[in-house]
Amino acid sequence: MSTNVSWDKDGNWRAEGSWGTANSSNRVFRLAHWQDRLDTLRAAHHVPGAALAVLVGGEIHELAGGVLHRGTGVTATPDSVFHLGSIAKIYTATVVVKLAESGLLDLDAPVRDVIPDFVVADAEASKTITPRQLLSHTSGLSGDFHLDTGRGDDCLEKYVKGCAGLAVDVPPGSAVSYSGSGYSVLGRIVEVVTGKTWDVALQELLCAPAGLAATVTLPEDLLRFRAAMGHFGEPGTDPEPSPLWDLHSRAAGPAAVVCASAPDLVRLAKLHLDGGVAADGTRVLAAETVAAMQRREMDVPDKWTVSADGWGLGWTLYDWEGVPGYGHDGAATGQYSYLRVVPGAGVAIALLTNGGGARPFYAALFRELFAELADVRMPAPFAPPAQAPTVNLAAILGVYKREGVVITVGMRDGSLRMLYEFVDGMKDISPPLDMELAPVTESVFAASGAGPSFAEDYMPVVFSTLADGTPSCSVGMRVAPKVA
Amino acid sequence: MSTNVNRGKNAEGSQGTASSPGRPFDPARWQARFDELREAHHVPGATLAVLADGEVHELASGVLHRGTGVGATTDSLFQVGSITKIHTATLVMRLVDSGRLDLDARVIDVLPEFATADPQAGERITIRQMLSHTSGLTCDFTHDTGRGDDCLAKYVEAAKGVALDCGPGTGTSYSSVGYNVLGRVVEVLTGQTWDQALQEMLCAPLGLAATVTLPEDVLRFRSAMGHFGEPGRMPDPAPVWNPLPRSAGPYGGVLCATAADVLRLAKLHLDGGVAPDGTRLLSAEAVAAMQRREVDSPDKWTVSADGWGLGWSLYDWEGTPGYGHDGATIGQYGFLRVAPGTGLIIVLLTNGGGARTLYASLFRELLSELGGITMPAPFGPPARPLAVDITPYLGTYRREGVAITVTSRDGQGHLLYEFVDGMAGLAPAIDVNLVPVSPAVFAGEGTGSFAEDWMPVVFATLSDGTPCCYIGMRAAPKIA
Repeated sequence: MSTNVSWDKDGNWRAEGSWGTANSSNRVFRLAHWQDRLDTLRAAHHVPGAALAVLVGGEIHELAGGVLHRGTGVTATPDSVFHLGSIAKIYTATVVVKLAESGLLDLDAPVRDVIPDFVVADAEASKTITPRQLLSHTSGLSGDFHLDTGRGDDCLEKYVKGCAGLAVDVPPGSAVSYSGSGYSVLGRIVEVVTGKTWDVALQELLCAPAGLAATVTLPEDLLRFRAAMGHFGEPGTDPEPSPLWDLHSRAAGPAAVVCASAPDLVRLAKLHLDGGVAADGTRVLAAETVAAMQRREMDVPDKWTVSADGWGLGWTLYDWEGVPGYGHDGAATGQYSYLRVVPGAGVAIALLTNGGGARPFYAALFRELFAELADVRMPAPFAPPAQAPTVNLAAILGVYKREGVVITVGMRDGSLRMLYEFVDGMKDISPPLDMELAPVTESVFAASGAGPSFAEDYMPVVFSTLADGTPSCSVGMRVAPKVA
Repeated sequence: MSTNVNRGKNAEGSQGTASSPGRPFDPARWQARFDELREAHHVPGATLAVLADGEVHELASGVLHRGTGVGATTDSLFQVGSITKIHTATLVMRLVDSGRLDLDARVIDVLPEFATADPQAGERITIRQMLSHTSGLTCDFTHDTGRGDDCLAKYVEAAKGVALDCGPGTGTSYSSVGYNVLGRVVEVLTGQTWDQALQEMLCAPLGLAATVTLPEDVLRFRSAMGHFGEPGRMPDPAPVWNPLPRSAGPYGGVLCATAADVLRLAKLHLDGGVAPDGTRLLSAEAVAAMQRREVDSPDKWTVSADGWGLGWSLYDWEGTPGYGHDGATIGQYGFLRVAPGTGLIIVLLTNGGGARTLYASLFRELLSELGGITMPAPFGPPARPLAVDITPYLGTYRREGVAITVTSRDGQGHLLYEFVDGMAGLAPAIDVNLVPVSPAVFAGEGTGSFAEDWMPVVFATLSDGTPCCYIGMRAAPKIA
């Protein structure tokens, strides 16, 4: 718990020190006001249902609005359970570092020490990739390897065996390149070390001691709760229920399938805020372990796709005009979740949604919440500046490639364009995207015309250089080295 | 479709009473009665679908889950339990129709790996015997072989060591194991999982859009949670949604549906195998074969069956024939009744409490008023006590996992029902006095979870001359 914020029994608070405003006394969490803002913004952004949990002053406030499923009409309540998508990575990361803390795992020893037959397409990487690199997305492992290995308890073991042909997009340790595949490997590490399925290990090592009673990974367990259904539709309209509850296979679990209520997600954040101690006083993680997860492993050149400034072990690290924070975003089959922690203010906010304009909804609501509760100003939405900067096009024109994706940057009809093609195993994902690039800075461009499935406004395209000097292009936090 | 009923008017002929004024279904009146009885029997939530006058009426009452408070609606899914056996039997009959399976083929001809603890007996078991509960296979081998698509293959493998209740064809013994083997037969013949075959061969062509078997698919719907509690008060939500494993699928552990979807399946049979869009899914012969009596049921009370067809429980409502099935999972209970003579179908799905007594009260009224049909009186000893000598029945009876000991204390029959071996610890032993109902039928007194009032205990002789004791329609031969 942060110590530079104090609250009295009426909920008034005073903040001092580096994070706060000069005059922040006598503020309260205005429940009715935030319920109104939640309702108003949710409706404006066509989000069918949402749950919001806010930790301020050591207390968790719970709000909800709308419906869980536009077909059944079941209403959203604060204890409703949503699919958290990639926020699952924080759960897996927490379990992995807990195993390391217990001496059962060395984060810096090769994955092979735990999984002797671990093999990916690159022989050298197969030998050297470490759990630490997987946790911080610096392993270079290609991120989107969707292999359905069934519903059984052997799904992760089979998935890891299936990774033999998985490409390494960039050399291990050279850059942050977001990798869900790496988290499935971490899930298998948890299984090998504990002798239990990832699902059971998560329940026993984290959910039970942390008091997370509304956090589950399997659909049969989700059925005990009010559960949200994802929705899809055109921007600006009320979306329709997804035809399927979830498209992920079970092997994607450690990367992408944890379901929880908003208060449970904030309880997990509070555990980290409180140095590893759960609400009932149980120490779940050592303070050093908690700190290690928040320590920056590497900077992120693409500061917009998930608002990241850098990456820790699991955590996305933020920099809100000098105020540090951590958290994670998640997306799963029409459900979108956002977790943000402002440690200096003792504030954690979880917003869980089931479709529609979830991202602008999050941005609008968090901007207001952050300003009032933590004196944090979120950066302006990503867009090209009014005055276009001058850029050296010669440095970026060319072809970039990562597993399943070819990106061609070139001039056509007097404008700078990017052709983003899905190839090989990913060729069925989407037709090629042909986008115009507008410069934001010398190395950052705003792509437009990708369509609503990929970005509602501008998609960030970031050119940078890997640690080994190779030029690269990062789209959607996935790094593709230049090949021509 | 039965032809001796004039829509909404009168019934004539074989259907029942000489003159049964057909009353139109009054939704408001039945909704009120449904609400009232559901509350009185402490059932948290229920749905009711009725085909009467050629029209489907759907009603819902109460809540799906007392914890979340989500209301039950007609489009809510419930676990239908062993009603699933009708789904599986219908799939099997489609394979028979298409010539891919012979009803009288031996199981080992289709599944060479199939075996039982008695190898010779196991080799003789036929598809028909498994459909009609005459294979001798036992019932309650609930074995979790995981969530994977190989769960039924593994189940059949694991069942190799399971003992038969009685010799194949020697008697009736309700067998869930047999239905899992049938599920595996479906998989081997179609090359699909039972779940996929069910969707493609039955749900899709029949328009059963709200019938699913996997929990990830249940999540698309409002769905019921089972409840547990003491009789006489509203029960509490079960700790887990469904403790039964995927490998309990084909016999009734996992299928969830709306009441209307269960009704549509029954209507396929009532309509001679033709779907509402005119597609023929089953031959008229297959439909008739399923309703033809394969065997009498010695225990006519546990699920009200007078006999068994292929899949169907056959009823005798004071001379009027009917068919249907009961279902129970851990905390959810379903009831399906078809009165072919009057073109009446009734489906009740519930999520706990006094579901069985709710069924009895509600169906007694519905069958009587809509079909002029009289359900038999509830099971129990006669008003005037009957003197029956218990001596011929004294001894020990055994089937897989169960030991039954019948003793006499000063002439009063007494029965001890114990779970042993693989089923040891499943439930406490049942210790009851036996009150005579007829010379070979006794009523077990005060039996807790098995029946709210009296537990039927039936003594019979298998066709090979072995005496046996039926409890819960499962035969246990006398061993001492």
